[in-house]
Amino acid sequence: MRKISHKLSLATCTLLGGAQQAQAEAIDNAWDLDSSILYYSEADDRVSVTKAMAFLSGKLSAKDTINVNLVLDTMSGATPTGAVKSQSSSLTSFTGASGASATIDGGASVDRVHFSDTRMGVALSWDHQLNRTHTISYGGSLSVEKDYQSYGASINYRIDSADRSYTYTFGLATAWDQIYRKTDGTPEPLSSVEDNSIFSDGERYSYDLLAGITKVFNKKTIAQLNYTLSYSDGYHTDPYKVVSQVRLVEDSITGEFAWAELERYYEARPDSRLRHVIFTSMAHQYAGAGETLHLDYRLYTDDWGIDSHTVTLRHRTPLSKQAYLEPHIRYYQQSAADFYLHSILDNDSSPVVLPEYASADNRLAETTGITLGMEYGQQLAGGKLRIRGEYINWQHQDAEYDETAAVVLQLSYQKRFY
Amino acid sequence: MKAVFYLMLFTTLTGCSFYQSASQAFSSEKVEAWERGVLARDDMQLDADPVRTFSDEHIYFSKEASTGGRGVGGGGCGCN
Repeated sequence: MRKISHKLSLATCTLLGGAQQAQAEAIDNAWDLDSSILYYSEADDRVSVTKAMAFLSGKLSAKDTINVNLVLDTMSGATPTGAVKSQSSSLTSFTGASGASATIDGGASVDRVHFSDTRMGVALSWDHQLNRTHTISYGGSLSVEKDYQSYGASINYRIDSADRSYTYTFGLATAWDQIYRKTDGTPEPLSSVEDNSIFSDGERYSYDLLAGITKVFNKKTIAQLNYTLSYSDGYHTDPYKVVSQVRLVEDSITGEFAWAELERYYEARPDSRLRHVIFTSMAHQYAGAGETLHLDYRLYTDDWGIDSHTVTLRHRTPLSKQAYLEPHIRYYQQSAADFYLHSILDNDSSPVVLPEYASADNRLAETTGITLGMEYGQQLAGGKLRIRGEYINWQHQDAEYDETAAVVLQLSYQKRFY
Repeated sequence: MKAVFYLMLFTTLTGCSFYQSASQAFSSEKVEAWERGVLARDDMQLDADPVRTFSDEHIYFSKEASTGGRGVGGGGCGCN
């Protein structure tokens, strides 16, 4: 009798063990799909973007993971060109502040350019665990739209300390971008728009180097510090942006002063850029179960004269075991690029001396940005549903369009398949 | 004068409280593998939602002059 019961327990153990092994293999082979749709819309009928994304991640073996990211953007709207705003018809002929008279070429001034485009992006990466503490990751990316193409490759190496208190990360990435206008190549920098002097397509090569450290401070706190050095060489100018040559004039009818555009040039930016970025991030659970705080800070500087500070704060509060609410605030402040200007001032000196580089793109102006957002998350049908809404406001100093305001709505659903 | 005093008191108390919270958060201790339940949670990952991070980085890259910091690789765009 004892013999039979012994055999029975052995058989039970074998069956259970087999089931556990099968479950472990199933978890090892789990695939994770995160799909998302995002809508971005700027006030004043400017840019609107619909973005569809699918991030797929799966284990190929106990040591290999593959990640596939697919993105499809549909963009349309109008974006500031950098030119001063359209003037009223009464300003086609004017008296300058100095008393001199001049005449502007007739026709409506275009200070915004309408566009529509579709972008498709694919990024692949393969993580391979070399041993218990060393992991290498190879990546490749491709992005195509009607006036821009980008091809990238990267390699990242991660080392965990033996007790897993520290993780050291080293990364190297390179990209080749091709830039052109939908209709033709790229305009000659600082040439008059009227001349229509067109060069061939622009090319840019970028190189990024990253070193980072992540530390587990205690059971509830983890933090990261990254340093990134980036260098890019080639065409950095925006082929659609222009700079106005202006004179301050008094409207002969209303008596008000306004900028009158005399001439319009394509912008010109330096042909290289060196950037340094220090990024810190921490996650901390500080009260009870589930209340989590995320705090990020980024310090950025480059040789175009742009320095910026970015602070991001998220706080997740569980509403139940299945749902949470997460308010979010982000503050951003940047200084202007050395060559940023509102316009080229014509003060009756002839001819006007053009600077070596010039851009009136408000994204290169001194800017302060605030983001306020809220996310709701819910476990649903074995997956994770997230809905978020955000309001973003940028204030640009000394810019023709001194405000950009946008709303973001995003719906995401993540599910794991075994 | 009273307002300045209360402002200083408030600042000091807030500062102390923040300092205490910060020193508690960053107190260093060895964490064994079986004590990592909280650290293993999805919301405790430094990039808790890669899709959201990717979306945000694309928006800010398109509208601001500075970018990067979190990692390298991934691909660019000619965003307006």
